[in-house]
Amino acid sequence: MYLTEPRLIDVVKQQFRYKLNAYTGVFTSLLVMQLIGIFISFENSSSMGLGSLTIIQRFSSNDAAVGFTLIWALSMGILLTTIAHRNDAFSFVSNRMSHHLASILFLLSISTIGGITASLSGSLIQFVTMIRNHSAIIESAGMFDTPYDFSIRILTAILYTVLFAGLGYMIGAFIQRSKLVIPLILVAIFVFPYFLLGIGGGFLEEVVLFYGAETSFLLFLLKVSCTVAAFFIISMAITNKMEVRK
Amino acid sequence: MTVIEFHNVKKSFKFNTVLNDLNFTIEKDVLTGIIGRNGVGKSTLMKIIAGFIKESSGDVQVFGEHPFNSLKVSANSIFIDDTMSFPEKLNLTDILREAKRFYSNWDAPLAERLFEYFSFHPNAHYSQLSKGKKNTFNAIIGIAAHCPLTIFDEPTNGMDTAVRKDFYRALLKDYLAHPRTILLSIHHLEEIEDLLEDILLIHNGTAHFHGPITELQEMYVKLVGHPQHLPVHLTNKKVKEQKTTGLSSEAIVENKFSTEEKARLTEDGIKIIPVSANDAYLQLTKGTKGGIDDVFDRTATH
Repeated sequence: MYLTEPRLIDVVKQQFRYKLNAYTGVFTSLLVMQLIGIFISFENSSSMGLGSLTIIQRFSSNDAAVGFTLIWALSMGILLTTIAHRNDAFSFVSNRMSHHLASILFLLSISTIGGITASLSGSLIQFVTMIRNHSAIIESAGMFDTPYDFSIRILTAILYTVLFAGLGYMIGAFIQRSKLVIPLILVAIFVFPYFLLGIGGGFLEEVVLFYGAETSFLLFLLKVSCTVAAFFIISMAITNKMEVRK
Repeated sequence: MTVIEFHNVKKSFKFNTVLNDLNFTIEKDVLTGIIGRNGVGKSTLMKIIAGFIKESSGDVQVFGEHPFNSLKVSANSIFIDDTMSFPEKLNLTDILREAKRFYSNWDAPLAERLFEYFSFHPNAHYSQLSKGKKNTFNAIIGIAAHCPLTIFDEPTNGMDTAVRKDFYRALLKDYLAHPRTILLSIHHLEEIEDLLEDILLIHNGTAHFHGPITELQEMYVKLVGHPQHLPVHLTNKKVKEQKTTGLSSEAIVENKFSTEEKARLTEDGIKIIPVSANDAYLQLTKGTKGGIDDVFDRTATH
C-alpha cells in the first residue's frame, strides 16, 4: 500500500470543511444572542421640558446586539479549544498545527458573519423603531447615502468580533494547559483592574482606549490584526506539546 | 521495510512509569497482536505510534518520521478505539462522507456494504448508539480507511459474540485483499489466535515477547499422564501449573525436552500436548504473587 505525502494546506482545508459541516450550531447560538440583543435595544427614551414644549427623545442602538455578539465570539473561541472539539478533529487526519490553523480559519469565518449580522441588526432596529413610532426622520449612516461610513461600520464590527474570538481562543488554550488558569483569569478580569484603578493606573481603561479611541481605521486594523495574531501564536505555542485522545 | 521502530522508549505519567526501555521493530504488512495484562501500557504504546501522545525519552520512528505532530504519520494511519468522537450535528452517513475526504484509500463501497450488513440507520446519530454499536461503527471506519498503518485498540469492547466474529472475519478478508500493517490489541487472545501473524507481548514495561504466534505457542507444552509417573519427569523443569484430577495429572512446563527425554515420556505413557497461544501467554505473564486463591487462603489463616 503506497504512502500518501499530505500537504499541510490540504489537510487544513479538509479540517476546515469538516468544521463548517459539523458546527453549524454556532450560527443558531449567534442568532439567539443577537435576537436577545435586539429585543433589549428598544428603546431608551428621555423627556425634556422646555417651558410648554416637551421634547421626547428616543434612542435605539444596536450596541446590545453587538455586545452580545462579542460575548458569543468569546465563548466560540473558548469552545473550539475544548477536549470534545479536539477529539473530533483528531478522529481523522490532523496534527496540532493543522488543527489550530483550521480552527483559526473557522473562527475568522464565523466572526466575519457575526460582525456583519451584528452591524446589520442596527438596520433592523431602525426599521422596527420607525414602524413603531411613525417617525419619518431617522439619522444614521446607510449603505446608499454614505457607503464609506457604512462599510467602515461593518468592518469595525467584524474586527471587534475577531478580537474577542481570538481572546477566547487564547483563554481556552490556557485552560487546556492547566485548569488553574480559570481562577487566574477571573482574578485578572475582576480583581486586578480594580486594584489598578485604585492605584490610578487604569490598565483596563487604557486597554479599552487603545482600541476604542482609535480614529484611524487603518491603525485600528493594524492594532487588532497584531493583537489577534499574537493571541493565536501564543495559543499554538503553549499547546504544541499537548497530548490528544488520552 | 520497517514501519515502526522503538529504541529504549520510556513513558512516564505523573505517578507511574508505564513503558520502560521498550525496543522492537514492526515490519510492513504484518498483522501484529499487542497483548498484555490490564494497565501494562498497550494503549499508551499505540497512542505513541499514532502521534497522539509523546514518549518521555527514547526514539520512536513511524514511516521514518517521529510520529508526534507528523502529518505524514497521521495521514497514513488510523487509530480506532472507544475515545473516537464525532460532532453531534453529523449523522452516520455524514461521518462516513467526512472520513472519505480525509483518507485517500477510502473504500466507499465496502464501507457502505458493512454499514448495511451491521444494520445501521443512515440518519442515526453517533451519540445515540450503544457501546457495542459505536465500536462496530468505528471498526467500519478502521477497515474501510485502508490506511497503510491501521491500529485497533480493543475494538471489540461491547460487541456481542456474533458481531465480534464478523469483525475478525471482515478484518482478515480485507487484510488479505489489501495487505497493510495492522496492530490489534485485544483481551481475548483465544478468539483471534488464527488471525494473528505476530505477537508483541508487553510485560513490566518491556517487550516480553515479540515474534510469530506459533513461536509463543511452542514455548510451553502440557504433559498429561498418571499421577505416579508424571512428577519424576518434572524435576529440573520449570513447571508453571500443575493439577491432578483422579487418575490423571497434568502440568504445563517449558518446552525444553531433549529427544531422549521425550522418548522416556512416551515410555511412561505421558502425552505431550501443545498449548494454545492464550495459555502460553498466561503462563508467560504470571505474577509472582500466586493465584487469586492465595488471596483468600491468606485471609482465612488470619
